[in-house]
Formats: sequence, structure tokens, C-alpha cells
Amino acid sequence: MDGNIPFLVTSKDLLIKSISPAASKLLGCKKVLNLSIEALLNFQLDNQDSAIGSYKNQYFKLVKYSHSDGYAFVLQHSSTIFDEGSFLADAIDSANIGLWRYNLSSKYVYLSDLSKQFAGVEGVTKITWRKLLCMVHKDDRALFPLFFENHVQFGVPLQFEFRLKSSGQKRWFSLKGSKAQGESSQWVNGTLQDCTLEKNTVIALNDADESKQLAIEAGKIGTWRATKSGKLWRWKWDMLANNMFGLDPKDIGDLNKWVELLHPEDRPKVLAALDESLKTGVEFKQHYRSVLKNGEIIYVFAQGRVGENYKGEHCRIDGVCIDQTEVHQAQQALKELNTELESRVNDRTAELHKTLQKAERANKIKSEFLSMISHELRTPLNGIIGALDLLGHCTLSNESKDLVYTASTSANHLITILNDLLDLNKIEAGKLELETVEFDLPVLISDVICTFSATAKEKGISIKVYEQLAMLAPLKGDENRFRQILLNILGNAIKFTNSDDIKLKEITLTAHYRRLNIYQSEITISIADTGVGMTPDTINKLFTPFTQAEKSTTRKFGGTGLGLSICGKLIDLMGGQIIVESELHRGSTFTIKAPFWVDTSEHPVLSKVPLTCYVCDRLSHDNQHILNLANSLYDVTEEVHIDHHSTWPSSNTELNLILSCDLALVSQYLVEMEQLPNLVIYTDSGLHSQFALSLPQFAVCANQPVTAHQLYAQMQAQQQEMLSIDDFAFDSQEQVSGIEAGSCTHDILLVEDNPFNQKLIKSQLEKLGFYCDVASNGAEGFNFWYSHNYKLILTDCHMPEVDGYEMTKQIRTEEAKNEQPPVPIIAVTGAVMQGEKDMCTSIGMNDFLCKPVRLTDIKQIMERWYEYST
Amino acid sequence: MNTQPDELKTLNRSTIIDLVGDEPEKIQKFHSEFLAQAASVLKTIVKSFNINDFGELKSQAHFLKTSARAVGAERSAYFLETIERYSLAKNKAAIKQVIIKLNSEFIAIKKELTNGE
Repeated sequence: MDGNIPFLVTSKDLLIKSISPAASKLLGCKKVLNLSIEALLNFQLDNQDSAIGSYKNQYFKLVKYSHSDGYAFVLQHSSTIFDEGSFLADAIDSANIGLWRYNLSSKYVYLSDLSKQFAGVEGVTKITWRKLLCMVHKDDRALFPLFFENHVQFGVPLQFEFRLKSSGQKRWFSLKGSKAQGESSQWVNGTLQDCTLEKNTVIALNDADESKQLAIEAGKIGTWRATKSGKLWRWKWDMLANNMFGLDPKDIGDLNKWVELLHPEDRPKVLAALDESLKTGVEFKQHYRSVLKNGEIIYVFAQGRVGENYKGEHCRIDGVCIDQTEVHQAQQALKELNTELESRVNDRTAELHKTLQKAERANKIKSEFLSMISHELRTPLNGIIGALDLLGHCTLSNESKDLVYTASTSANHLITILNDLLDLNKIEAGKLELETVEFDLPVLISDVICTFSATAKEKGISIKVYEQLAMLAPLKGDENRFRQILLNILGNAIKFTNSDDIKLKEITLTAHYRRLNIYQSEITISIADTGVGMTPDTINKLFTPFTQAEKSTTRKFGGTGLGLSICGKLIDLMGGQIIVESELHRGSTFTIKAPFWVDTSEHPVLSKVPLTCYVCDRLSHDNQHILNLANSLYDVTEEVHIDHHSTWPSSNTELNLILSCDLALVSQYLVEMEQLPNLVIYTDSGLHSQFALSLPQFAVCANQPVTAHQLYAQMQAQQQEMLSIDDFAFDSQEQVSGIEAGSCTHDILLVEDNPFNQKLIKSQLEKLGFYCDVASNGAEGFNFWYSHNYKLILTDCHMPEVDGYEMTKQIRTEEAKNEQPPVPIIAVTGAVMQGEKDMCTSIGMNDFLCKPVRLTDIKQIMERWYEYST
Repeated sequence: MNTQPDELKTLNRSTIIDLVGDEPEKIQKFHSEFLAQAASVLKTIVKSFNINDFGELKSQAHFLKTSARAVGAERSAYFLETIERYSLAKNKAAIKQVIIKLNSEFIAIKKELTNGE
């Protein structure tokens, strides 16, 4: 065959054995040998001599010619598979319609390129009916045999939609087809269209419609509508609306039936509103009543909107109606209940008002009574206290003193209770007025701490004070009432921390100052203890008069329960607050916050005095607090840190401070320290005694409790050269009296200037069965010896006028002159040094005793010298 | 005295028992006598301090020291001995501090005796 003719030669089983150059050019491919011509060109001969095939979107007509080894297929370019011209092919392509045909006998499937593309099948892949079905969504597979069989057997139209997985996505396709009778076999031909968009839209619409319908049904909402036809309005409503009004199904759309049911009182306004809406397009919105056929009245809310046509004419109205009978009934019941409640509240308020008036009258009478009684009691009580005070100064036996003390304490306690009662009365009667006077907060805090520091120490409670009063401005307010609050709360803290069950007894007072504005500032004082603590219930009733934490509290700790009540009322008057935090068995914290006026009058600005601070070893927490206070009060020009290898620098300031907890380190620099003027050493409370005793020549203070005012006072005291005699006067009940010099009646002479020692040694001798005459100095002693015969003389060495040594010399001289036997003279001396003993012996004393003289020592001396003399 | 200062007691009650025997009434009498003497001598010490009479200061301190030792007022005796020492050195600043401490000791003795009664 001519090579210019496009042809392919195949074997009997249609495998390509050769291809002419023209065919190769036409198809645009060469490597086709041994491929199935049916598969390559996508056709099936179906016992015919010609067929339409396609390759790379081109269609070819194939004409078969037989030869001895097989067949020769001549190719002819064709516009379409149908070969009826390009018009139909173009139309199908532009409509994006895939084509298919299915041979009912051979089960051969032909898919156009677009159909293959829809199915996601490669161009040359041979597709079978079974493969195609596998690609269909499993829920839709059954449609294929059903529709195909019904169509072929019963002529039912072959038209259905199914899902295919195309390019990894599920898409919807519409399949249509019809049976075509071939010459020798039956075909079904058809189209395949992607209808995913349309299908999804329909599904979404159905879903939205179903959702709306369900919501409307759930809400018992009826819908209604009217459309305008010419000049007439045609009405329609759904079954829900129909049932709402109790109408028959045949009544749907008959507006008169609905109008008949309108409550006569509501009908005119509802119809007028509807008419207005239809005419003007304004929204229809009405609450109305309908009287149903059975006489029941329902409450309905209806709302509708008017729509326009393209000409702007009102052509339709759509709306809803809701049965609100239940809501109305509930509202009605609520209204009735409210009315009833209001009436009851009014009655109760009137009753309460009457009761309040009665209570106020009773309270006023009670206050007046208490006030009168308190005053009446105070007068005689003051007399009792005065008398007891005078009695206390009289000479009384110990038993009487105890009784006077008990009576005095009780009377003073009673006065305190009366004062509290008067305070409470005054506050409750609104008669208590607060003062506004200038006061010094550090002095106030110091006073409060000083009041309790001795008591706390006795009870083993440590008090710590931390003041943060930097930038403190002069304050104005009721100092006395604020002090009263602080004293009460600190007093309570001590009272309730002093329990045997508590191991760590500690109270911490912190003071904080805050400037609120140019006229006001706020003082916050927190008093925390490790005492018995309280439960939340107890805290709640803490500020109620005559109420204590528990009934057992009064028994165990005493008190009337008035103190905190007064504090609470006072702080309210001041515009402040007391915050209580507590935990049972852990302790309590009372935080007192009070606003004060700032004294804006001009005050002279005093310059701070320079001070040097030596920090020996590490700075303890409480010494750090002292340093902070020093910085706020003084101009700390130098802060010198000293360790074991330091050279102590000299000070240029008149005030000096040492902060240390290391006694050994401080002791290393005693000489240097003695050079420092006005020095005060601060150490931790636990080390205070050790420091004070080991460093007696220095002022040593414990660093807690120390207030700012106390620190200032302690530094000031250092600058005083003189001591005030008043500060060193403590009461002593006994009068100092020596033993009156009597006649010379005994055989032992005691020469001693110290009356205490006179009595002591005389008593010791008497205990041993000896009695002595007493002379108060050496001159008196010599005269006694001269005028009487003594067996033994005991003499002090250091005495005014004539001392023991001189007296001994005089006696020994006189004895020698008169050739008298020497009387044993025993030195009784406080000095124990060897030189002292040698001196005693050298001047003729026989023995010596060291003060204080023990009974055993004096006994030995008596045995040795008195018996010997006898 | 070999005892460390911080081991000294404000009032060692066994001392006076060693001297006069365990006779509470008599001991109480001596304690009261001592306090009376201490109050009187302390005033004299303060007066001597204020006029810088160091000789009298030493003498008064010595005078009271023997009584203090007798009643077992160990810390007081220690302070009185310290006053004696600093009087010789005429160290007024040191004496001032010791007098202040001595005063506190007497108050402590008085409190201890009052509480112990």
C-alpha cells in the first residue's frame, strides 16, 4: 500500500504490526507496534468494517481491510465520533458534556475524552463497566443496574444523578441515555454532565428550608402571606397558623374567617393597621386577642413585611403569627404576685418603722441611763481610788499591802470599764466629736510600744516594730482616739498571745505612711501576732459590743468585749477601716487604715545631723531596719564595713553608730571604739545582754523593739554629759541605818563602816553563838579597844578617817607600850590580792577574811583565834 | 573573777544563803537593806559623776560593791568594780554608760525580789 496513505497493519487479534509514514504523521506518534489498535484509538469494531476512533482529541474514521495475516486499517480524519459534521461536536464540547456508549452484549464501554476526564481515567487506559462502577460512590452504585435494566426492559427514562470521586474530590454527575439498536448488537448511548454546583445548591436549599420549617414548628410560629392579583389580595396561611386559630383546613386563605375571630375590642385597630401596611408598605406589627370558636381567648403577636414588584407597587405581604397566651398568662401571674408582694413589703416596712422607733426610744433611754449611772459611779470610785492610793503610801504589813493592791487594781479596772461604756454611749448617741490637732506619729507609735514593752517582756513575747515613714509630713487628727485604737489592738494581741500553748510568741507592728494628695495622707498600721487566732465566725461578730471571741474567752483572758467595738466605731468616725485576718491557732493580723489631714502650715526645716555608721560583720535583718531608721533621721555620711582584718577608720562625726551581732569582732576594736564620741551599739535582742555585760563602757541597745522616736531619743541621750538624778531614783521601802554604837558589853569588836556589812557580820557571829560590839571606823574602834578588854577584833581595812591598817598600828603600839598581850586582829577585806595580805601581816594583823564572809570561814577564824585567846 | 560577764546573775540567791544560812525572813531583810543602800549610794555616785569627783566615785562604788557581793547581786558588783576601774582612768563617757547599766540592774533586782516574794 502507498506510504502516503495513512494506514496501520494489525494481526488477527488486532495488535499493530506496522504503521505507514502518513499514519504516523497523522497521529503524531511512531511507537505503536504491538499495541491494541482498539485501545490506542479508543474504538470497537463490533463485527463491522468501519468505526470511529479518537486519539489525542482528534477523531478518525477507520476502514478495515482483511489480508492473509490480519487486517489493514485505513485512517481518515473525522470531526466527530458521530461523524455527522463538526457542528454537533462543537455544541457538545462547549456544553461541557461527556459522551458515553455501552454495549449491552459485550459490556464494552466507550467514554469520550471529557467523560474519561470526569472519571479521572488516563487517555489510553481501557475502561471497563466494572472499573467504572468502582469509581462511583458506594451509595449510588445500585442506581446503575436499576436504571439501566428498567430502561432497557420497561423503557423507563434513563436519567439519574450519582457521585464520582474525581481528582480526589467527590462530585455530582448527571447521567442521561437511551437505548440504540445497532446492526448486530444493542447499545445504550448517553451523556454525562458535572452537576456538582447545582446539586450542592439544591441540597443547601433543602437543608435551609428544613431547618426553617423545624424552627418555626418548634416555636409554634404560624406563617401567612398575601399576594396582590389585580386589585384583589389573595390570602394564604400554613397549618400551624390555621390550628392556632382553631380553623378548619378548608378555611385556609379565607380572611373573613380570621377577622370573625378577632376580639371585638381589638378588631378595629388590627384591621386598620393591616390596611395601612398594605397601602403604605409600613411594617405590620400588632398584639391582639382572638376569641376561638370554643370561647377561649388567645393572645397573638403578628408581624409582617410588605414587598414590592419591579414597578415599586406593594404586591405582597409575608408575616408570622405567634401564640403568646402562655407568656401573657405568666406575665399576668407575675404582675399579681408583684402587687401582692409590694403590698406585703409596705405592711412590713410600716411595722419595722414602728419597731425601729420603739427601739430607738429604748436605746435612748438605755444610753441616758448608762451615762447617768457611769457618772454616778465614777464619783465615788474616784474617791475609793484616791483613798487606796494614800493608803498604799502608809506603812502596812505585807498582807495589808496585798489587799490594798488588789482593791486598787479592781477599782482602776472598774473605771476603765466605765470609761469604755461612756465612750460607747457617746458614739452611739452621735455625741462623740473628733479633735483635729497636730500630732507626731513616731512619738505616738513609740508611746504605744513603750506602754506594752515591759509587759510583753515579762510574758516572754517579743515585739518587733518596722516603721516606713519616709517623707512623713506633719499630721492633724484625733491623736488620742487613734492612740486608743492602737493601744486596744496591741493590748489584745499581747493578751491573746500570752498562752502556754503558744511556743513562738511574737508581735510585729508595721507602720506605713502614704500621701494621698496635698491635703490628706493615709496611715496604715498592721499588728500581727502569733496568738490563739480566730475562726471566720468569730471575726464576723468581733466588733459587736459585749461580744468576745467565745464565752470561754472572758474566763480565760478577761475583758468586757467593749474595746474592739469602740475601736470599730471610732475608726468608722475617722473614715478609716480595720481589716482582720486570722487563722485559728496560727494568729491574727489587724490592719488599721486611717486618713489624716496634712498640716500645711509652714514648719522650720531642720537639717539632719551627720552620723557615721559602722557595720561590723553581716547586717542582720533588724540591724538593717535600724540603718533604715538612721538614714531617715540622720545624715549618714559614712557607712563603714568592718571585718576581722579591717583597720578601724577614725570618725569625723559627733554621732556614731555600730551595728553588730559579732561580739568577738567588736571586742577586737575596743580601743578604737572608746575614741568615738556619742557611740551607740545596736545588736539583735538575743545578744543584747551578752553585749551589754561584755561591753559595760558602751551604750548597747537591742535593735527590737526600737521605734524611730526611740532611736532618736537614744542618740540624743548620748550627747548629754550630765546625768539627771531623777532618772536614778527608785523607790526603796527600807531606810539605811547602821547599828547604833552601844556600850562595850561583848568580848568581840567589829570595826566596819558599811552598815550593811555591820549587820551581816554581826548576824553571822550571832548565828555561831558569838556577840560583838560594833565601831563604825578605826578611830571609834581604837577607843572601844582602849576602854574595854576584847578577845578578838574583826576590822575592815578601807574606812573613812582612820582605816583598819592605821587602827591596828595604833593598837599594837599601845599594847607594846603597856606590855599587854596582843589582841588577835582579823582583817575583813574585799581585796584578795597577795599584796593586801602581806600588808595586813606586816602591820601586825593576825589573819584575814575575804568579803563576803562565808559562815564556814568565820567559824574557822573563831575557832582559831577566839578559842585560842580564851 | 574568772566568770564570763554574761554568766553573771542579776541575783544569785544561793550566795546570801551561804553567808547567813537558809533563813528566808533574815534574807529578805538583807535584800531590802541592800536595795535601800543601793538607792542611796547610786544617788551619791550620780552626784559625784556630775561634779567629776572620781575619787568619791571610786570610793562609793567600792563601798557598795561588798554589799552587792554579799547578797549575790553579781552583775551589780561587776558594774561597781568597772566604775572603780574607770574612775581611776577618769573615763567619764565609760562611767556614764556603766552607771546607766547599774541603775537598770538595781531595777531588775527590785523586780525580781518583788516577783519572788
